[in-house]
This record gives sequence, C-alpha cells and structure tokens, in this order.
Amino acid sequence: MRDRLNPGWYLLLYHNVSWEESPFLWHIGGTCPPDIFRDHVQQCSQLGELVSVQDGIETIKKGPVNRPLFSFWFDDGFAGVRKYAEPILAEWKITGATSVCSRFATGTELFWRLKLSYLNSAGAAGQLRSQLHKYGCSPSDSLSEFTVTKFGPELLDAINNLFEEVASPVVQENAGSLFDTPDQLRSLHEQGWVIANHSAAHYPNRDGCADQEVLEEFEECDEFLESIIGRPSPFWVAPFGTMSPGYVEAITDKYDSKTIVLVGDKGNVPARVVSDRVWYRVSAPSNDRNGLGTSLAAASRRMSL
Amino acid sequence: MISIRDSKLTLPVAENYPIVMITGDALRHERFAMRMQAEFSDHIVAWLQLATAERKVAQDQRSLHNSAKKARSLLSKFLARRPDRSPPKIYVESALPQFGSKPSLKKVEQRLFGKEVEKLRETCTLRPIRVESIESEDTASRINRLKPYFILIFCYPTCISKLRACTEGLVLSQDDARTPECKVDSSVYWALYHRDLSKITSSIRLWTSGTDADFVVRSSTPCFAVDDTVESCFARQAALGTELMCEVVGDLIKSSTLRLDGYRKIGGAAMDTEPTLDVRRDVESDLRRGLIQRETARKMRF
Repeated sequence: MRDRLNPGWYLLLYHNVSWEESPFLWHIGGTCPPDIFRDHVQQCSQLGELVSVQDGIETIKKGPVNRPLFSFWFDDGFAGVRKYAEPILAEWKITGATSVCSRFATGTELFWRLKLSYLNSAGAAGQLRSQLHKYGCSPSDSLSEFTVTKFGPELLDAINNLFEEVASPVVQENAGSLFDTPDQLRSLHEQGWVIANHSAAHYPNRDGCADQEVLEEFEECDEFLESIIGRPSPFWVAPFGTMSPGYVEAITDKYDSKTIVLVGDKGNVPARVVSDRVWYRVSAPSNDRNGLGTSLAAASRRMSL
Repeated sequence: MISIRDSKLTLPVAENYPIVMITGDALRHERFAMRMQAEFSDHIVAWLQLATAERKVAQDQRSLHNSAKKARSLLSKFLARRPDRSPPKIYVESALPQFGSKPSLKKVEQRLFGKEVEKLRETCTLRPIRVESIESEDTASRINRLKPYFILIFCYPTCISKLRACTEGLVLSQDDARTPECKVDSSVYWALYHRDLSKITSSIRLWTSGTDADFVVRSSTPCFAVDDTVESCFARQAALGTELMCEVVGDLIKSSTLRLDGYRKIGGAAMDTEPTLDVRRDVESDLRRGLIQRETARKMRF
C-alpha cells in the first residue's frame, strides 16, 4: 500500500465525527463514528506522516517531499469534531482544519440540508415534493439531488416553511447544538486548529449564479471569522466541494491571499500547493474502516491529473 | 420537587450536584464511568460497580462457547473423515459463524473503546466500589450517606424504589439490554431482522415513581459502520447512550431544566421477545451480505 501512494499531501475530508446520527444527519450521511476515525488516523500514520495543516505548508515550502503527508479537514463546523476528533488528533500531536458556515455557528440559520434530512425522517418528504412540483420537481426526481441542482430562494423558502411546520420548537432549538458556537471555535483556534471559511450558509454555487453572490457569501463568513479569531481565513472552502473554474478564477483574481479548497478526491502535488492556490481533498469513507486504503490509492493515481 | 410541564423538566436548584454512578463491570460500563468523570469530575462522589449481572452472562457465554467448540470439532472431524461427502466449502463457511466463531462482545468493545478508555484512565482517578446487589440495604444506606442529587445507572435496574428514595434529585438510567433476564440484545436483533437501522436507538430514562413507570427524556440513533455485527451495533448503542447521558446531566446542572421533545411516559418494563434461532440466522446472513452498507446507502436515496 505504501509503495502505491505517490508522495504528496493528502487532505482527508470528514464532516461530523460522532457516536450519534440524529434525524438531521440520518439521510444525508457524513458522520464518522469515533472508533472508525481513530482507525483511519492510525492507518494514515502507517502510510506516511501525519501533519497539521500549517505544518504541511511549512514542510512543502522547505523543499521536495518524498513521502505521503496526511492532514485532516472537517467541513460544516459540527460540534462532534471538537468533541471526538480533536482529542484523537491530539494523541498524535497534530491539529486539523474545520470549515465553518457563519450563520450555523451564530445560530441565525440552520443548515438547509439538515432540515431536508429531518423532513424525510419525519415522513414529510412527500409533502415537500408536492410543494416543489411547481419548480419542476417530478415524482421520479431525487429530492436530495433536485434541491442542490435547482437551489434558489423559493426552494429554500419551501424547505424552511415546511420545517417550521413539522419540527417542534424544542427540536428547532436543540438542532443548533449540532454546531460549534463562536466560543468553541475560538477555543479550537487557540489550540492551533485552522478555522476555514465555508461560506455563510452553505448554498450551492449554481451555474448562472452571479459571481457577486458567491463572493458575498464568503465575505460574510470572513467578517464573522475576523470577529472571533481576529482575522479572516486564508482558506475558502467551496460548499459541496465544487466550484466552477470561472468562480475559482474570479476569487483568486480578486483576492491574492485566498486559497480555494475543493474536494476532487485527489492528493496535492507538493510543488503546486503554494503556486496554484487551489487545494484538493479526499472524501474519507466515513463509516468504512477498511475503505480508506482504496480511496487513498485512487487519490494517489489522480494526483498528477 | 421535580416538575414536568409543557415539555420542560424543572429541578429544584441546588448548590452542588453530587452524582453517584452505578454500573456493571464490562468495558462499556467502565467507559460510561470514565466519561462521566471526565465531564463532571467535581460532582462525582462514588462509583458503585455491580459484578453479579455480568458474571452471570459470562457464565452463560462460557457454556455457549464450550458447546460451540465441541460443535466445531465434530464438524471438522466429519469433514476430515468423509472428504467424498463434504458439503461445498461455501456451506461450511456460512455454517461456522453459527458455532461461535464470531468475535465476542468483549472483543468488540475492546476494538471500539479500548484505546479511548486507556486514555481516559490516565486522568480519571476515582475507582469503583464493588457491590453485590443494587437492591440490598447495604447499597441503599451507602448511597443515602452520600446524599446524591443524581443517581446515574448503567446496568439493568431490577428494582429502583430503594434508589429513588435515596435522592431528592433524579434517578436516570441508560438502557443496557444485555442483562441476566435478557441475555441477548434483542432490540438490535429485531431491528436488523426488519432491516430498519433507525429502530436501534439509545435512550435515557428518568425514574420518577420508583416503580416501573418512567420517562424517556432523550433518545437517538447511533452511527453505524459498514462492517458492523450484532455485537458492534449493541456496543455503538451503548456508546451513544453514554454521550446522551452526559448531555442530559450537563444541561440539568447548567440550567436545572431540560427541554423534552416527544418525551413519553412508558409502562412496565416489558421483556422483548427473544429472537429465535431462525431469526438470528437470518440476521447473521443479512449482515454477511452487507445489510448495513445497503441500508446506509438506501436511507440516503430520497
């Protein structure tokens, strides 16, 4: 396995790490049980070197890298990351990076995908499908995919309104605790974690959406990050892990100091990490103890593409 | 006085909240006690550990293990003597797990929690006090002397009335299905038999009256792994229950209130029907054919 991995920087992407998969996450997945996460970290330590994100950059800047480097990145700002992943990484004397959406952290908005999962758990998916019929959702469409590809203000309103109708006030209130609060993020930052910008509310970057809208989402989150950690983040992490080349270009042209972080399921070629300002991450198989090797091998093969 | 009104549980405010824990002696129980110490170190005053229940289960498992050993040996002898009439290899492989080749719950717990508990032991200093019975006068008077506000139970509470009388605060318990009365984690078996992972839940119960009547104050579903077995599903259920207990106690200490959603008063502790051998075989066979992987993918298709 070690022979098959090309030297490079592998940023492993997780979302939540927790023993629990509540109705808010049940239908969208992405939760990694702590024991599996611990096994993944252990496996990576046998395949190469574990590094914090900042240390990874420093190592690459120093000169050629002749081994695989592994770092851990968590999207969406779930509280489970601080609770379960942080202590595991601390055992290896490294930290990770967490990408946060400002409105989830402040509790002003709940992640719309979580609402979608809750509605499905509560048996209200059919009701939502009927309401989305006027926006072109057919009975054969997958709600999960339709809501991403056709995302817009009307569709968001439909999800929000139905959620308020279906979920009790207690459920709505408790849902906020799934995310880290500003104080908790500050404490992670003080421990050396990278707090990255994942936009204000995780809206998909749709084709045809004005560049300005995308930028505003990231700028709003940067203002929030500045208020809690004293500076905006140099890392803008694309919601859903993708961004059209046009957006990437628009952002990197406008901001010299920003690095765009995507998914791409490939490792990063060390020589290009600093110059390209676009980083790729590898989606870790969150509930598969034995699937990490396959994902990494594929990421290694794709690295030079 | 505890009040439950408008989906809200309110407790009398106290100056401090002494906690007594009562657990079994398996690794999942030790994890429970360690996690509580890590979260509420200033409040924990005692950890009572029951040996009886687990010992009985262990004895049952030992006899089962011995029978399995004999069955495996007979099967091997039969195959060695009659190569011409050997059943196809695939049948042999599918038959062997039914003769005890699956990892025990103890091994599964070690795999899931071993390293975490090892780490927790470094900082948790309170050691358990062994007690023979949860119902004895001795245990009750021991707890009474400590004047606990919370009694947290992670073992099967057969009779709670004596414990209930020991506190003005709350008796909370985490479900632990593996008990002397119910030797298998039936709820996990039945959920898997119906291929419904959402039915594998962890709950925190509030014992109000000292009899069988109680409330479920928090309940949720664990996160599964694709290679899970009945035993690992059960261990995940236990791990989540411990985390839910931390949340419930933390909320109560912080605000003396707990928002309850959909809490329900439940009746007497009815015993689940034990899964029969054919049910167990179906479940094991489903698991070998990737039930969890399929169900995990299916629940995300909507």
